[in-house]
This record gives sequence, C-alpha cells and structure tokens, in this order.
Amino acid sequence: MPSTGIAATEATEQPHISPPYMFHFPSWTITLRNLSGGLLLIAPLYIIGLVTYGGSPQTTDVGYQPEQPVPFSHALHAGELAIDCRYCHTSVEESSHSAIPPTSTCMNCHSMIHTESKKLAPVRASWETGAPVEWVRIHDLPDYAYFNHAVHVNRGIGCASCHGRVDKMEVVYQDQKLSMGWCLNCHRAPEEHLRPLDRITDMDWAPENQLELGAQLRDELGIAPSQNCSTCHR
Amino acid sequence: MKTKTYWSSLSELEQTPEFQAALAREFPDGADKIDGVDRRRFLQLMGASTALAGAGGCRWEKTELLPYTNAPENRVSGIPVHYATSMELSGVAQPLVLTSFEGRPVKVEGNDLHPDSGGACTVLAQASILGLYDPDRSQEFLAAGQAIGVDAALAGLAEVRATYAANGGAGLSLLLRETSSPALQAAVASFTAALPQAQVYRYEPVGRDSERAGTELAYGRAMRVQLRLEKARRIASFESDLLDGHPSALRNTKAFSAGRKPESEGGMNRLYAIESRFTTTGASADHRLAVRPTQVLAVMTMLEAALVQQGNLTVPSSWGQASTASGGDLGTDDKTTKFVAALADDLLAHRGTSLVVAGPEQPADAHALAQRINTLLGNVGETVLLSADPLMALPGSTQSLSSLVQEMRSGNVQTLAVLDGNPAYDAPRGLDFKGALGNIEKLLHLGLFCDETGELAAWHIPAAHYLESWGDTRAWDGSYCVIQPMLRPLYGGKSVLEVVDYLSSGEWPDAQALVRAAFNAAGGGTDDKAWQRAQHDGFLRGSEAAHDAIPGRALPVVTPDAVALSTAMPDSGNLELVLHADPRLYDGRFANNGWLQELPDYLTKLTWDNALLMGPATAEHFELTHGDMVSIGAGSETLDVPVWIQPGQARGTLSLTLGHGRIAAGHVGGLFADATASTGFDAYTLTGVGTVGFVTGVSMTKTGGTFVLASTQEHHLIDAKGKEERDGDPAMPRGGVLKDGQPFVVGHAADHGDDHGEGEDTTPELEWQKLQVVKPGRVAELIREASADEYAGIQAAVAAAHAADDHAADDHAADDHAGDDHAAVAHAPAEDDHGPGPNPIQAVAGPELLSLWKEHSYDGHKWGMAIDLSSCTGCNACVIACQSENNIPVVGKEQVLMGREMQWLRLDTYFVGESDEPEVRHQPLTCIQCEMAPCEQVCPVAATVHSDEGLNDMVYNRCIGTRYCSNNCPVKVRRFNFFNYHRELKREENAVKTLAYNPEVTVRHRGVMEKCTYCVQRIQGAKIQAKVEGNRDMRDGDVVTACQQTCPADAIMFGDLADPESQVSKLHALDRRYDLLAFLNLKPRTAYLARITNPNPALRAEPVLEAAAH
Repeated sequence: MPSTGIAATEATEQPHISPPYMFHFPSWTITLRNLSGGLLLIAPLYIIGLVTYGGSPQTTDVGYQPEQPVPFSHALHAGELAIDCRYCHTSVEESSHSAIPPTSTCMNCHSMIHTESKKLAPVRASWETGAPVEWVRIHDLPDYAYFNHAVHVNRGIGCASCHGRVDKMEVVYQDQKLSMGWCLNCHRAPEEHLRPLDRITDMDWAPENQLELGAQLRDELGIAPSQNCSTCHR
Repeated sequence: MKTKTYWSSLSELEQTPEFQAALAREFPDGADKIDGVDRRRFLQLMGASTALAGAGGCRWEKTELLPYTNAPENRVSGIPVHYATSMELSGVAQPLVLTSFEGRPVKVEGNDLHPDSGGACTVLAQASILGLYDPDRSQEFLAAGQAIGVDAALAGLAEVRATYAANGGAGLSLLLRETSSPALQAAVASFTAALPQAQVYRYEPVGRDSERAGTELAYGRAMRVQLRLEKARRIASFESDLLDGHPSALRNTKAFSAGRKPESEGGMNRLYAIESRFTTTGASADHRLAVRPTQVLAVMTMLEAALVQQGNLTVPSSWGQASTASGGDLGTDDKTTKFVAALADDLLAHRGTSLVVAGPEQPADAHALAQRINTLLGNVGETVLLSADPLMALPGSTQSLSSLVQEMRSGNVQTLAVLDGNPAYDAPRGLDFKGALGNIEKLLHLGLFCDETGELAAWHIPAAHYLESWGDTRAWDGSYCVIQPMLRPLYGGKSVLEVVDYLSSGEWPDAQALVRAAFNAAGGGTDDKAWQRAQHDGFLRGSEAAHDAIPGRALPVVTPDAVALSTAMPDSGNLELVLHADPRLYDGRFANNGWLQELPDYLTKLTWDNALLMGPATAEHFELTHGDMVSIGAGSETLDVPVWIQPGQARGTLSLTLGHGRIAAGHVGGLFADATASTGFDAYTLTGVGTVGFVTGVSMTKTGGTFVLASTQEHHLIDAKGKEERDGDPAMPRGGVLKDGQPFVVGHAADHGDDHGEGEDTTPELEWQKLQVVKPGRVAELIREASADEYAGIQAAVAAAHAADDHAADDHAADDHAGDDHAAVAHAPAEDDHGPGPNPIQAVAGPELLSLWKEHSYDGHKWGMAIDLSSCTGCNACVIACQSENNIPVVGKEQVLMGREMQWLRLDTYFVGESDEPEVRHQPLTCIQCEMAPCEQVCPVAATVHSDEGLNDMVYNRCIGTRYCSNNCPVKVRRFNFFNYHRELKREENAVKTLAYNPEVTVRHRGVMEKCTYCVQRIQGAKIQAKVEGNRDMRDGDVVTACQQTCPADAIMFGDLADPESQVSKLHALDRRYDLLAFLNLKPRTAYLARITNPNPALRAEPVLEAAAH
C-alpha cells in the first residue's frame, strides 16, 4: 500500500511491521473473557461478603485471647476452687465498671499460698513496688457506647451470658460478639437470658425451660429493656 | 397602635445590609468553607481519606487495664466521689463541690449546704477546673528563666531564708493577694514575729477597696455589708454588681430571683438601677436610669434629700447633716427628678424592707451614703447587716501597693517575694511597679503561671492550684471554709501558705496541720469529728460572722452642682471611663482559660476580646461604629482600643474591662514569647493609682483603623426567613386571619370541615379567597411578657373562662362563644369578636394545627424542662456548666467569627425600646426537645431519633454530617464539628487537658452534629441508680441537669412531665407558660415561663403586654 511506504520513509527508526499480519487472540480467551465478566459480577458480592464476615465482631473479636502478664487461671480459681466472681470483681453490683481486682486481693491468699511461685512474680513485684499489674483488656466497647454492669447483674443477667464459661477458661478470651446487634437481641428478648437474682454469678446454672422461666422473671422483675439510642450512646 | 419592638442588635434595629444578609443564611458566611477549601474539594479529600481508612486495623488497639495495688477505702471504680472545698477569690470563699472520677476532678459545682452558694456556682469557679489542667501552667522551678530543678531551687530558697533569718528580715518584703484565710493570716503573723524587720504588703487589683473605705467612713472601721435580698421588696442599685461580680452574687441572685416569680409568697420585689454601664443588675431592673458615673453619687444625694423631704425623716444626729439638694436645685432634667421622686416614694412605702446599694466602681462616699440612706429607711439590721471584715488588717490594696513601691524606690527592699499575684501586669500603671523593680536585688515569684511578673523574677516557683493544696478561707458571710486538695500537685507546686510558713520557720510545713490548727482556733475545736464534719460540709457550721450594730459617723457633705449633672454630650477630653473587672477574665488571671475567653459576654456577646463600650448617641456624636479603633487618653496614658456600641450605656460615658491584653498568659490568652497574640486590650494601661473605678477627663480620637470583634449576638438567628416574617404584620404581630383588612375569627374559617362554629361568622366557600392569613411575628412568639398587674388580670380571666367552660359543660348548652374562647387558649386565634383570648401569653396564631405524621405516644417518663424568664439574670453560669459537663470544645476566635462556636446552651439577648435606653430580655435557649421534631424528619441516616421518653436522641456514631437537621431546626440549637476540635489534645504537652473530660459523655469527632441532650448521661445514671436500688420508682429531683444545677436564679427546672406532682409539671401548668414558635406545632418539651415585670405605676410609660393587647 502506498501509504505504508510513506510512513516507512518518515519513521525510519521504527521496525518494519508486516502489514498483512494481524494478531488473533486464541479462542480460549473468549471463555476467559466471559469468565472474567462473571468475576466482575461476583467481585462486589465477594467484597461485601469479605467485609461483612471479615470485619464482623464475630471474626475480629470473638476468641480474642491475648497473653496476660500473669498466667492467672479462671478455670482454677472460679472453676475448681469455686471462688465467687464478686470476690475479686467487687464493684460489679454497684458500678458501671466491674473492677479488675487490686494486687492486694491476690495477696490476700498468695501471701500464704504459693509464695515462691514464679508465675506470681509480677504480682509480688507489684505488691512491693506499688506499680500496677498491666492486664491486657479483652472486652472493649467503643468509646461512644456506655455499658453498665450494675444495672444488668441487679436485673437478672448473669455473668456467663456475656462472658461465657469463664470458669472453664485457662486464659480468658472473648466469648460473645459484644456488637450492637448482639446487645439489641437481648434488649428485645431478655427472657432468653434472664435468671433468678441469686443465680447471677452461677456459671453452671441452666434452667429446664429458659423461655418459660425468663418470661416469668420478666414479669416479676418488671424488666422492660430500653431500645432508645441514648440508653447506650450519650 | 404602637407595637413593642424587640431587637437583638443595633444593626438589626437599623436593618443594615449585613444583617439582612445574615438573616438569609443558615450559618454565617464561610461556615461551609473549610479554611478556604470549598465543599467540592472537601469531598475529594474525604474520598481519599475514606479509601485509606480501609487499610486501618480491624480491632481496637491493645489497651491495658491498670488496677490499684491497694485499693483506697470507699472508692468504687466507675462511681464519682464528691468532695467539698472552696476557691478563694479576692479574699472571699466560693463554696464548692467537686466531682472526682478515680481521683481526677472533672467538674466544679456549688456547695448546696452553704448559703452563699446554695448549689449555684459562678462561671469563674466552674471554669477553674480547666485552669487546673492548663498545659501552660508553670511546671518548673526557674532561676532567671532557666529550669533548675526542685532541689537546687529549694536550696536557693533556704539560702535566702537563712540570710534574712540572720538579720531579722530587714530588706525582705512579701506581697500577698488579699486573703481571709485564718491559716495564712496565722502564718503571716508568725512570719512577722520571726522576721520582725520584714514587711508584708497586699494587693488585689479588683478588690472591694471602695466599699471597705466607705464603711470605714460611715462606721469608723471596715465592715462587710451583708445583703438580705429575700427581705428586700424594693431595691435601688447604684451601679452595683449585686447580681454578678459581687462576692455573694450567688446568694443575692437566689434571693432576688425568688422575688421575681409572681408565684412567690409575699409578692414580687422591684429593682431600680441607676448606673452608667449596663450591669447584670441593670439588665434585670424594672426601671433603669442611665447617668454618668460621676452623677451616680449626685442622684444618691438627691434621693436622700427626697426621702427626708417626702418622708419627713430625720437623719440620726451621729450621721451628720443630710443632703438637701433637690433635683430642681441642681437643675437636672425632668426625667431624673421624676425617677428619684418615684423611687423615694416607693422606698418610703417599704421602710425596713428596702435596700440601697452601691457598686465597687463608685467611690467610698457613695458606699457611706448608701449606709446612711439604709439607716434612714430602717433597713440596717433588716435587709442590711454589718459584720466584721476578716481580711488582714492592712491598708487597702492600692495604698498597700503604693507604699511598697515607695519602699522599693527608696532602696529599702532587697528581696521582694510576690506570692501569687501578677503586679507587673495588674498594678496601676501610674505606680510604675515594673520600673521600681529595678531598685531591688531579687524578685521571687510564686505563681500558677510564669506570667508577666514571673518573667521578670530572679526565681520563679510553680504554685499549687487551689484544687491541689490545703488551705482555708472565709465566705462573704464570714463562715470558715475548708480548702482540701483533690489531687497531689501535678507539677510539684507550692501553696502560698506553705511558702510563708517556710520563710518563717525554715522548714516545709504540713499544710494540713496548719489548717487544722487554724480550724481549731476558729471555733472548730479539737474534736476530730468536728473537723471531719467541716471537711465533709466544706465549712464550719455556725461560724458565720456576728452582725454588729454600729452608730454611724458624720459623713463628708457632697454637694453636686448643676454643671456636674448636665446631660449634654461632653467633648473629647471630658468623657468618663468606667474600668471594671471582666465578668469572664476577672482581673486577668483567667485569661488563659479557653472556656471563659469563648464565653459570650452577657450583653455584648463578645468573645475573645474586650472592647470600649459606648452608647449609640456617643458613637454617633464621635462618628464611630462597631470595630472602629479609637485612641483613648486618660492622664498621660493612651490606649488604642476598638469600639463596641452598647445600647443603654449612658451618654458621654465609656466602659472597658480589665484583664485583657496579657502578654505572658499562655497559648490561649496571649504569649509574646511564643508569638501568640494577646486577646483584647490592656485597660490597666489607663490606670493611674487605682484600678477599678472611673476616670474622668478622658479623651477619644478616631485612629482610622478597624478591628474585627467576634460577637455571637447575630449568630443563630432564629428568624432566617427575614424581617417581615420575624416581626409579622404590625397590625397583628401575633398573626391571625384578616378579612377585608379586619381581624377574622379563624376557628370558623379554618376548621377543615369540622362542623362546629355554625353562626353568622361562617364564611361561604366562595368567600375564602378574601381571607388573608397573617403569619405571627416570631419575636413576639419567642419572648412573652406581662407586668405583674396584667398577669393578675390574665389569671383571673383564665379562671373565669374555665369556670364558664365547666358551667357550659354542666348545662350541656354548647355556647359557641365559650367554645371559641377555649379553642383560643388551646391552639387558635389571637382574637375574635370578643377581643383577645383569656390568655394572650399562650395565644397561638393561625388555624388549628394538624400533625403531619403520627404523634408519638409516651408510656413511661416524659422528660421536660421549664425556663423562667422572670428569674433569669443572664449570668452565663449555665453555659459554662453545660460546657464542662458535656465536653464541649473551644474553637477559637476565627471559628467564632464564622459562626462555629460550639456551646450547646446560649443566652439570647433582646433589647426592647429605644436604642439609648433599652430594656434587656435574656432567653436561655438550647434544644427544646420537640415532640414533633423537624430535625428528626430530615436526617437521612436516622442519626437523630426520638426516644420513647421524648428526647431527641443524637447518635454520634451514625451521623454523617449532612447538617440537614440544623437546617431544619427552627431554633438553631444544633452545633456541627467542622473540625476535630480535640485534635490538639493528641500532642503530648496537651495530654493533661484530657483529664478535664467528663468520662460519662462521648467526645465528638469532626463531621458530627451535636446538641443539648437534656444531660442524658445524668438521666441514665439516675435511672440505673433507681433500678440498682431495688427497681424503685424515680423521685422528682433524681435527675438534675447541669444547667439547672448551677443556676443561681433557679430559672431552670427539669423533671418528669408524666408525674403531675413533679415541680416541672406544675410549672408547665402555670398561666404564664408558653411554647416557642407554637404555630409550628413543635410540641417542645422545654416550656418557657413569660417574664413578669413589676414596674412602678408612677414611672410606667406603656403597658408591658402591649404587643399582644391590640
């Protein structure tokens, strides 16, 4: 073709391209193209799925089990020795916080028992220096959510409902999602979790018919959980 | 007929183009720009940051829980503890209660056990919590500006002490603030005993020297004047700061405001104010006479003469000769003469139950004369009590300071120890304290800040904050108050008490032991129980000073002349300037407090600066307008300062507050060393030998420059729809329906097919188009008022209408007219053929209101509030209480200028009447928690939703910042976080500020809307408490909002409207209750109680309820 000749003279540096040759994609690429179209359709679903499940508290938070400075075993203390939760977490019935016990609580017993234990070295160090034991926080709500322990344990919600069977945990981990939807599930249907007020810290307690007992307790105690935003967000 | 005009600023009264433009906007200009970044660019940036945000972590960062090693007794983690303590200001205690979380004080409230507080608290004391956590506080011991460490500093101090212990203190002088602390006075006594050659001086820039001098003049010794406003039915205030600024202003306000409520037993009191600048007292007065400061005393002599003449009274012989000059003799104008005559009559009718009081800017003569007039009226011993002054027996502040300066100049002072105080800034400039410092060898400074004085000091010692130290003080009533520390000194500071005791004994004392010893001596006794009780209560019960009865002494004769009383506009060079304490910064010591700097002034609404105030006539005469720079000259000193035109300021007078223009206050108030500009202008420049008071012969010239002042007066204009809608039709300011230009019975025309009201007035459908709906003027809707007489008439009419209704119902004879009257009260027209409805205060214009959507039903609590405009004095205490309680950020002057101030609660101020002599109406306004809330309907993400207790919940974590809610809010109470205003706290040096946060309230982030929540954290706390206490019923008073708690006027009441016996329900049922913008069918939970005034019929120019009584 004449035009090719002109182009070749003008662009002398360029390699010569044989004019009649055209690249043909192999036929299997058509299948690939169709497939990738399908992938494009699926991709948003995949990403939504990834974010929904990957980012959900079920995935990110449940099972969170950081290493603690002291290998304190709830299974031993709360389970085997059956020490009541409130022996250490004293403020749970009156305060929003369920306080982590001061070192002195540990030393009540451990000034006499296992006084030489290596595991307890950080506790003894804290007792001697006055510096606190730096426990790692496990159950952590966002700063804009205000949870109050006292109002729950005084109104028929047991420790195990949110914290799981701590009496069986060697190292404590997060058992429940602690997400807003999870909170609301119970605020909408508290009868699924209500228990008699003398069974709050009883880890082992299980009724024969939770729903029946729960409904009864709900009436007796006048439980009407609020679902207002300002109940938790202030 | 003439309609009462309300206006919020002069530009509104004159309808300037700027005001018209401001009306048309939701936020002031630039409010939607981000420092020049427009919305489009912002969205681009936001998109990019969102993309990056996804890369962040999925779990919260790892945090530690740090328990106590040995838990203190009686402290439960998560439950705040309340401690009583006191703050001493100019030698007077302010009794306080601190809320402390885990040993961290976060909020200051008044001590409700102490009568000088009654639970209320001043803005200064409330904001002092921010001062405790001020990162600019002095943190190091300095020698010539260099940090030297505690040990070296204390060793140096020991050397000084040793030198002077050897020579008996010759050449050593102490300069203290005024103090009534028994412990400190004892320490000073032992200091002078140990070092007899040493001298002690005192200085307080804004003390009450003139009042002390006045009582000395009258009684031979300085006395404290205790006011008993609960007994005073008639009060005459001569430029006094009775209701704001007075050391017992809280107690005064409580008693005064109780007498402003028409429901109060014993009837309403009446307040007359004679003053030059607009004080809080003047703004609350029934009658106000604006005169120049030099004329105040003259009016007082006229009053005395009138009392003697009209009441045929004789001044007791010991008091000397009574004033005789009458208004006529003095050639005053008719208005003043008439005012004084009416005031004299009223006071004479209330002998023993009236009160005359002068203010700190007035000279000693005025205070002495006030005492003589009170004696004449038989008020002394009734409304006026005298008690011993507990301050140190030294000459007055300025006298003491000038003798110190004299000693310094004559070389008798080698070492001067300024123990808390800042004379390099706040000493009268005429004394040239700074110059005199050149004559001494060593300046030692103890202060919270390394301020103007600290910068000049050879040694600077950081002071312990009052919340960090042991101490004691006396309240205005003389009672012994304990100061107990809430926490250890953050920076190892020392208290004045410790340093004085160290200088006398040579050993660092146990301050608690010193206080205990003083307590024992002050009548507490050695019983530990009494001491514990005093610590618990915050004061020693029964320790208030005894009231003395002292015969008066002959007073110097004051004879004002006609020239002095002239009302003509003086020329430059003859102007009068009032210098007074700043209501926010006091003498300047609070200049680095962001809450106070950004707190809009009670009248000018100025933030961040002071300005020279003058009346409109003065400004016109000198051809000045807002923001014009003028140079004012007093004596040999001049100061360039911007002008602010303040309606009501007397002709030919200027006023300026002290306390601004700091150059070494800190990064908020001004720090030249770190290139931080001062706020405002230093009025101390103009002080000769005294500070607070007035200066005559002042000149003023325009410099040609201008200055931008940040006033919030025209922000958040409720009436963005324009002037016409705002004021309504002059013929019908409350709205209604006109037919052929005549008011028409609306109940019939707009009954939407309801079949009642058949009669002659019924309009055939074809006639409808002739009807013209007149919307109500909104200010008439916002502020409602009546005089006491008019209100009594309304109450009678309402009672009669109810009786008629009951009668009609009993008879089953449906009288159309009675039915109409009833409708008029509930929701309809301002008037019909029978004249206005029985209650014009509650009248709502327009047709019967129908709800656009299904109304909420409420089964449980119905939270509600009532705000009493009769009681409110506009003192601003509620604004700071809200700021402290709800973690509200400070945004800075530039942001305020753009209308971005964040205070949830604002005090709207309206002026009524002529621009030269207006009256003032304050209206505290915050979210009124509408049941039919317009904000909730427009939020696209349901971030503001209705709770089943009637709150408009704001859910920060849902908010995406569209600001639709604010756009749709008819009262403009929503505040938007244009920036992350808490960002600066992430810097390490500012971390200490986070300690001031209330942990019960979320700290809001950029892009989030916020507003008053009715202190929902307090509501939830009280509900939880009731549930924990065996699910008991909640009691009235369980929930107290922060603003209500601190209000000295008891103007705010909160509670459960579902309980008909609650106090708030009873207030909502009053005849003077009304709803804001009721024609919008908002059904707000906050109701207002109309302002009821008590004018003197002899002086009343026009009916108060005029606007409604057409």
